[in-house]
Amino acid sequence: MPPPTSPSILEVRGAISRINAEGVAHFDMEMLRALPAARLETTTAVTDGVRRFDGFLMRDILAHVGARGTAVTARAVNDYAIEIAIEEFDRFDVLIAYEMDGEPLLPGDKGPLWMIYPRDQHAELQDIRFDYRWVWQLRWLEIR
Amino acid sequence: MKKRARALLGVALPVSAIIIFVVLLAFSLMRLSDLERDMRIEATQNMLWVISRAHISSLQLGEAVAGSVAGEVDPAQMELRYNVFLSRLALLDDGPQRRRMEALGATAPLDALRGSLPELGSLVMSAGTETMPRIRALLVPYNVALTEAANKAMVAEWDDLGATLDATRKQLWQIIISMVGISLAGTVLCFHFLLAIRDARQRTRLLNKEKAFSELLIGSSGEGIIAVDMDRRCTLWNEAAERLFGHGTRSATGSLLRELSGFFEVDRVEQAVGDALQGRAVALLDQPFFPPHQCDPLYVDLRCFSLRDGGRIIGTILLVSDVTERRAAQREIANHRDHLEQLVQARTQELDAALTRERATADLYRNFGTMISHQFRTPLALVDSALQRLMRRRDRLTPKEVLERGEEARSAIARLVRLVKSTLDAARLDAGQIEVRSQLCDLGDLVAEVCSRSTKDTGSGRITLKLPDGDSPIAYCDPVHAEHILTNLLSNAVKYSPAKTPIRITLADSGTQIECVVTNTGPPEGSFEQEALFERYYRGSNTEGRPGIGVGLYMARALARLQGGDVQLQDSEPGMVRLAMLLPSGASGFASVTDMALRKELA
Repeated sequence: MPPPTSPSILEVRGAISRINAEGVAHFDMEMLRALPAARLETTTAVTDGVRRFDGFLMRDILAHVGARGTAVTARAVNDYAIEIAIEEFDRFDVLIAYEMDGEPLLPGDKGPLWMIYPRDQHAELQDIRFDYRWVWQLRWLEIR
Repeated sequence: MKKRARALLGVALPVSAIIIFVVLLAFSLMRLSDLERDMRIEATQNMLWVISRAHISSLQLGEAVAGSVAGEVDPAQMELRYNVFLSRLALLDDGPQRRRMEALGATAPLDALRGSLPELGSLVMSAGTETMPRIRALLVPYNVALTEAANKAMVAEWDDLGATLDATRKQLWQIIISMVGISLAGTVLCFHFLLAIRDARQRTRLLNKEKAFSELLIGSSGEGIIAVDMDRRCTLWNEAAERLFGHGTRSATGSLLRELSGFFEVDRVEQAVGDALQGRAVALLDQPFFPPHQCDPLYVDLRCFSLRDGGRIIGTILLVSDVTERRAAQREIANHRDHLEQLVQARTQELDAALTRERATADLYRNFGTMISHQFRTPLALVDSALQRLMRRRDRLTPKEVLERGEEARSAIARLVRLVKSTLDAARLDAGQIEVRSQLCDLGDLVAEVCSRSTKDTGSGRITLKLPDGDSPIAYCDPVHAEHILTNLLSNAVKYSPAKTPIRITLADSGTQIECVVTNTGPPEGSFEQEALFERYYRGSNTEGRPGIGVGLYMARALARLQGGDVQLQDSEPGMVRLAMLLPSGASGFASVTDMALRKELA
């Protein structure tokens, strides 16, 4: 896997087979945008109204790095960390968004990357136990 | 009254229990649904965590600024801290969080800080000892406001939680009470159903008993009972039907009627069953039925009724009763009755005849009395007057005159004697003492003889006789009686026709009968009754002053009839009387030819 040409905004480490640095797969925005694009329209727990999110599917990036584990720890810049079972990404089209309503997500808001669950598409996701998985300012993914 | 109350209770109790059950269940479900909805916790309710993270990011920014001044923090880290700080601030300003903060009354410091963000951004990026107080001055009110907001949020959240718990507890209690109600209603229902099951079992037992009894009744009925469905397939066949038609119950059930006996193929029977299947009750009485292996027919009464299930016809029931014996008895009674009627009729006829005879006898005696008073008195009066004259003129009478008077008296007496003889003859006739000895007799000779004697008596030559041409007619009769009849007819003609008028006698042979007709000038038409002429002691209106007792024609007819002949008053020209004596011809079968030949030879 080639190294990123601009500063990395997402680091994937742990049980992965494809890397571009010492045990890490670095991604810049260009590399992320090269992944198969996905779109999701849903409400969120912290904003009003239905929002349109553009990004890529969590399971696509996991496949891209050849992840072999059972769980992913998603960590934000402020060290907010949540552990998620990998099979959840097969059940739901979990998105990592880089745009909301056509505008790039800003680092001073919830950007540059925000993990989005298809909340409106699955009633079971309208639950406080899923609401806490919406990690924003996502920076690291660790596969175990 | 008690029964009605019980029935009402039997319906009202379970119905109300079911209503209570349903209402309470619906209420409980509603409450549970409310609970389920209330149990959802929104992320915005996690305000304490949001505020605390904002507070921490603000403190971390302050720390990073201090580190930067000391040269311990690089610009990238500084930017990261600042971005996290901004992100938290933005989060607090987003829709749901903003509304919450407004509710907590902590938006003013946030808005003030947001107004100073460009200044803060540049200050943070070029942090130095001189900018520190300004950064602090900007962040401190924010931190204070967040502390207050956290405090209020905690209180509000706990209050909310307490209120939610209260509401939930209340709802739970309502549900518990409903459950108790549901249990009670359920208990009542269960109890009711147990009772109902017990009743149903009892009824089933009774029904079974009644069914068994009905089967026994049907089985032991002397009448054949057969039920068929709409396809005329047998569903019931009792023992009496088995005896009548010779099929067992098992083989008959399920078979078509017409397969079981020819009796059911008879048009009338088939139609009767068809009618009953369409809802009309039909009765066929005295229907002949030829049982298998038996020559004599039985007679049965067949009654068909529709079997209904509610308004729908599901088949027919046929009642077949053997009425052969009853029919025979009825026939015997009818025969007996007919016989009695005949007897009564015969007896009535006899009685009628007796009555007629009695009446005739009464008439006879009345006529006899009248006749006696007239006819017997006249000769007696003659005798009496002759004797009176004799006695009165006994001195002056010559022997010749005495003789004349004596002759007069004797002649009157002779007439009286004749009258008595005639009367006696009639009596003998009535008593059946007249003997008839019929034989072949030459009527021509007989008539000629009587005519000549009459001519001698009347002495006038008034009588003319006309015999047929050829052979003299031969009659089969008693010559004595024939002569008597003819004498009577002639004397009648002489007596009742005006003097010197002709009297004609003709004799004719018609093949079967010999007819001897006496014609004389008679009284005007209608002066006597035609048939009454032949009644005994009858005397026509033209007989006034003429001697006679009214037995002449009666005797004539009676004697003629005794010999197989008759005396008739025949139609004649006006002013004439025509009386005919009819006697059987000698060739008419009353006598044999040999007899006749013998008679001829003897003659």
